[in-house]
Amino acid sequence: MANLTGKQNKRCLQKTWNCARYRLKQLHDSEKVNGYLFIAPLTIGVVVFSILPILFAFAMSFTDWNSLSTPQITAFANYSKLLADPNLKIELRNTFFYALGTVPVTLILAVLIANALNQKIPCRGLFRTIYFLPVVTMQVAVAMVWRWLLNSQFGIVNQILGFFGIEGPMWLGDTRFIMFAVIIVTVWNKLGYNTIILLAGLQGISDSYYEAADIEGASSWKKFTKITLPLLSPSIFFVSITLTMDALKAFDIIYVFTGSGADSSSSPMLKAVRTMVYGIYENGFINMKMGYACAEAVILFAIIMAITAFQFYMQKKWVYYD
Amino acid sequence: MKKVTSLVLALALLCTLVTGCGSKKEEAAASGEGAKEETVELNLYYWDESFNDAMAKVVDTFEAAHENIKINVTTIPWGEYWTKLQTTLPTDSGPDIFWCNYMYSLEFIPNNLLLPIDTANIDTDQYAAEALDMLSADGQLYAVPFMLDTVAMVYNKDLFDAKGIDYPTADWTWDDLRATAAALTDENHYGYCLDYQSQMGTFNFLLQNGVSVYEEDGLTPNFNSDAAVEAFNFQYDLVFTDKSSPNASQLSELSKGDRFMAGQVAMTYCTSPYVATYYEALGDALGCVELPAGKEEACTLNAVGFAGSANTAHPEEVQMFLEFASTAECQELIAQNGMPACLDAAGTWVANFPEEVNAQAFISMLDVAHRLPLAHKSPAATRSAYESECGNIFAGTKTVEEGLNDAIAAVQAELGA
Repeated sequence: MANLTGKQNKRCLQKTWNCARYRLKQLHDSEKVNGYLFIAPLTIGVVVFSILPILFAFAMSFTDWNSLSTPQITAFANYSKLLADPNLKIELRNTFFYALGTVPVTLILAVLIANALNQKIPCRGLFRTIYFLPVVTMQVAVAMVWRWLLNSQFGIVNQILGFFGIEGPMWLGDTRFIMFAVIIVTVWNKLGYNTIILLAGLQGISDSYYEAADIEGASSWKKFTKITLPLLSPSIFFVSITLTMDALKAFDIIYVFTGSGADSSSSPMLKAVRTMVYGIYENGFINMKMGYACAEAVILFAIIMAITAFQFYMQKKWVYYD
Repeated sequence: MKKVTSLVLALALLCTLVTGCGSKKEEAAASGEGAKEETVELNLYYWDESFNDAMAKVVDTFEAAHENIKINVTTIPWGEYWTKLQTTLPTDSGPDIFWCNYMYSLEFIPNNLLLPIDTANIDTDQYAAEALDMLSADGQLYAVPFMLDTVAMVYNKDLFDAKGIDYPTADWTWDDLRATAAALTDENHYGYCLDYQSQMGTFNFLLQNGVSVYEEDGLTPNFNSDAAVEAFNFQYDLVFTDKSSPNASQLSELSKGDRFMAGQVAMTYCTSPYVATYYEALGDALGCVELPAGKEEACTLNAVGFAGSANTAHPEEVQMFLEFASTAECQELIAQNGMPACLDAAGTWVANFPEEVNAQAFISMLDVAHRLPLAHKSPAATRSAYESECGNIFAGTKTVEEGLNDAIAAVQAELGA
């Protein structure tokens, strides 16, 4: 190197520089790297805060962990105890009853309201806002307010029913009615968000279909069933998947309606509304049986997984992507 | 150019994430290296917001005396308090000092989560012996008691005046309670309000009827004896025969406390920390009196203390705070809000209320108070199993005998597990 001339030296440097630039350019050009870097923040978040805890819970479901002690491996003891637990049967029944009570009703109402809000009605913006309002309120706060609205003595719901000559039941103090109260409040709460999703779906449908139908003289019912519904089906599919998942994970409203926290676990109303997530909460955080709670969470995970897989399988038969 | 920008943006995003997660650790490391001269920060958790003023004074007084210690106070509502401790204490990310009650000391001590307290500089004679014992294991103290919960009866004088009925007195028995409750009940009012849970409700009746809820070993439930059934039948009659009290279903809709504060209920049982809340709602209409006696006089006793985390990085400073918590100065500050564990400061608490309120009744109950009867193993799970059956009995879905037998079975299942 010592006897290189200045010119040679310069050329060599130039070459190295060109080479480095070329490499850097190659790196830039590969969209892959950029892509990975962009999804990295979110991916890391999901891995650290969702996926690792899920794997951890799965591992803990085979132990007697009480969240305070060092866990001891107990193999399938939690699962066999869980299957014999009468509470699990009650929770499964309540969870499915709740899901069947909320998902179809919310879905049908959301489709109808989205259609109405898509028409040229007066004060359309105002109505859209009103329907969306419950969504931006916290579920627990919503449930607290409804607890008072539904109170049998002081609540406005029974006063309105009384105005029509109906004697309202003790919504939150009667095992026969409390589940219906939970379902009504859930539907009211979930309606807004899903209406907005469907409304967006409706606005994606091209007017030319309707114009063609008008020329053919199709009735509005025909237009609704033959054009709107099929073309809206991808949105309906999305909404039904998310609604079902949410319904199987019901907790907040039930927690508040039965009195919150330690009060909940002794409420005589609980057996009418305790869902699987409530059971997980009670076992893990009130009874301090975290391993057992993890086992129940794994079962719930399997159930949600199976139902979602079934919904995806069924979509081939009714969802149209254009 | 666009590519470079996007690359830089992506890297920047990633950096924020990494630094966002990492910064706390560096800070902690830095403060650790600074050794003794640096300020030591201790985290203190408690649950009761009504103690905010008193706790602020306690912390200020302590910090004034110890310049190199700073205490960060966090209030966590009761509903999430134990969940928070349960998840943070074992992972070393929780408080250094926190309020701990008898039931959770039974959960935490066997798992080595509480710092053993050196009592050399603590005057243990000032406390009720039972309170010290409740927060100790094998003679080792794990929390410095500062508050005691006894149970007494509170009543609404306005409802008594309206019916021209004499106020309850300290020598009342169950029969007086039943007769007066019936007399006070009308279309819009209940004479009495049942508490179907354990500490403020059913346990008191069991103890008054001579039932030892658990045998000495703390592992044998004993609440389906004839005496226990009798104690439950008395409450059952109040609710379902006389209809002098709302039942558990009705209480699930509107709680005991809400009903009492709304003036719908004339008499109910509660623990000492509720007096301040009820006094705020009812004012001078509030009266307190010793519990009506059954075969004997009795009530439950719960103790709350300052505990240190066994995983704290600063055990010496925590010990210093706990020693401070045992001083008369600290006890007096606490007594502004809750019935203090140190009997010398009890007068300060009673004096928070006018004499006619007779908060003294809660102090008098100390003489006949029994420690909260809990199973020594899985106290939280066994108590929730028991209370759940109490809920069924007082909602009328199970008879007393059925409910108690099911409760025994559920508790035994928990203890056997």
